Amino acid sequence: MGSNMKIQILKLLLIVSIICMVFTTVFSADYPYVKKKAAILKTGTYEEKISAIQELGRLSSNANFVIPELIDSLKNDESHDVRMEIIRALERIGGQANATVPALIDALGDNDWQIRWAAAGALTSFGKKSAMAVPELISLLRDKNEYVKNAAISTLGKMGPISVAAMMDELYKPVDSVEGQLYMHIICTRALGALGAKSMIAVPILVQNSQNDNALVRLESVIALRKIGGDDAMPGEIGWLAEPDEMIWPKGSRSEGNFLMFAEAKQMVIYTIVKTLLSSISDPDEKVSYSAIKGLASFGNKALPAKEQLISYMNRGAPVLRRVAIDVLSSIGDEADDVIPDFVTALSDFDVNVQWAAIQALRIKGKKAVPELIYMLEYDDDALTANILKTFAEIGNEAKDAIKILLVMLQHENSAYRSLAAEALGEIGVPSLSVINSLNTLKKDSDKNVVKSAEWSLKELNRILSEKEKNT
Amino acid sequence: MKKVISYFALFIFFISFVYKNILAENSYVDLELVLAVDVSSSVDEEEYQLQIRGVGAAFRHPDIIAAIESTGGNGIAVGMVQWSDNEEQALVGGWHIIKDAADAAEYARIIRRAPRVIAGGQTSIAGALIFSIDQINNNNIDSSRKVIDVSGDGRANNGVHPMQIRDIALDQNITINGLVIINDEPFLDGYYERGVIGGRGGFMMIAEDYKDYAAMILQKLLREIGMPVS
Repeated sequence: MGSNMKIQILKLLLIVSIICMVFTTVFSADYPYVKKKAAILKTGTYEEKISAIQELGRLSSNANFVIPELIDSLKNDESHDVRMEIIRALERIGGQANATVPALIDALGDNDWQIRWAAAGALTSFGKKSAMAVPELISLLRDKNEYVKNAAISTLGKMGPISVAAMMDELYKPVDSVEGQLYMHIICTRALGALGAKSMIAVPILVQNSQNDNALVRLESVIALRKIGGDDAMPGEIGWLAEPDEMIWPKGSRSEGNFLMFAEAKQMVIYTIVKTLLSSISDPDEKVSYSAIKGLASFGNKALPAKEQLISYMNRGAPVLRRVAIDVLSSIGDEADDVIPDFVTALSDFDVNVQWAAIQALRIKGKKAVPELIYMLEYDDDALTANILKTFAEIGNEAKDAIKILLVMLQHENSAYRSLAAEALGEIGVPSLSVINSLNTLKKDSDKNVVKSAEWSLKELNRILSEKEKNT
Repeated sequence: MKKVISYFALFIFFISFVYKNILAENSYVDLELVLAVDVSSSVDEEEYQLQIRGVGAAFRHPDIIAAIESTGGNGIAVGMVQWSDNEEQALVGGWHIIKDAADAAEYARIIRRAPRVIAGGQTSIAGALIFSIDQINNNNIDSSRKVIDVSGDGRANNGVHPMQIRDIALDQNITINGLVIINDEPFLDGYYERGVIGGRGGFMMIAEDYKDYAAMILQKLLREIGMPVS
């Protein structure tokens, strides 16, 4: 590098440094100003105090050095509003966790429920640094106030593995051991589910609880299991390994060469969860059964052993069970392609949501579903035809093989079918001469809806044609 | 020359007066409805598809069409807003006045094809509400009922607290209803109940995941459109 070049680079660095200095001076809050605002906490009127605290909160980390003053006022000020504002400001500043978190823990025991509520929520901002608050947050789950309880469980649920063990403790206690334990049990189970893979260590107790005498406990356990198993970021993924301070996963397993063990463990956990869900399908409580079936949708072809059972639910269960059974069967993949005729039959279900689930299942199957749909369309069955036509529109371009029969349907005496067939041709998007001519004929149809559908499809096909022309 | 200019100015004034007061008169409908759909980073492509296809299917449902047709000819006005963080909102497909089955089918086609114009981002429910209020106030449509139907799968982690904007909406007689998807956050319903929904007849529905979206939005639209007009 020549000396001239070096001089140029040095000049450039100098200019950048000057710009940075100017920006820092202009935009950072200066020390005397922040201190002046903090002083108002001691001497100001109610309005002045509120305004100063809000200002400090807005300064965020630039107000870090007045945290002791804020904490002091949080402990000693008599005004409820001032204390509430201080908690909000501490949350926004988010610094000096070693001082702020203990102060917020003190506030969790305050007589004023709003202070407890705000403090529980504010702890969320401190992440793992608020670990020392876990016991107090767990006790707060027994608070008389609903808002406080919800804030506490929400914060626990966002803390990650540090709160898992504490919440698991609650699951080991019998639900009738003390008053309110059932509630504790349920919200802790929900929070564990919300933590997903990070709650993997809780799988054994959740499996056990899926057999509990209490239907509500069984239901929540099944939901939590499906969330844990359905979380893609299972241990063994980078995110988990990158957090060495999280001690939930056994230390030895992190040692070199144990990566394979993670994958195996993941498979074992999923196997256990799927096995539990398969067994819970037969639960006497319909909600538990529904949740177990729904849970299987997260595991793709691992739900295959339940195929026959799911087909049976699809044909005979309650509407919600039929709908969710279709969802699961559509998620299994190629191994459940033989269910396509059942999906087509489900298009004539009396429940509109089951019909919609079947349309979506057939959309997922795509081209493979088209022959069966064409075959059934030829029967001209009132209960099926409209939904078959809707399904072609949902499948789109992969339903090209249906164009011939759709052109025939454009002549149907039922105007609703003509309209849906016209729309399906637009969605399939093949601008052949025969399609365009047939749609043009429909522009003179006596039914307004048919005309609109034909016009829309023609517009769509013309767009495709002009794009093709542009490309050539 | 001066005379010509004066006549011309007078003519322009007359035309603008006629346009403003006669031709551009606001349409009147029974309900103005914003469907505010979450497209933040937590919503993947399949989940987005389930939302828009679900809305599209709902507008083809005979009960929805019957509810719209029972509005006595005024119909309803619908606009879909996609939203994520505080700076990211978009009205997709514009406002549509739906009076009959043909209009509803047209809207269903537009929505089913609606592109995802916001790729992702954080969650600002307040941003979605501000934008939706603005859309209602500037759509050249009048109505006796104005509703923002906000659906989402997470708490706000961006922008101001939605509670502040909810109060602005309520002051303008705009009702906020919620469709909460609890697949990621199991306690989200409580958050929506306390801080998001409100107003005359405001309510909330819960979907366990996006696969339930179509069933829930159908029920929700029926309740929103079918409410008696005061």
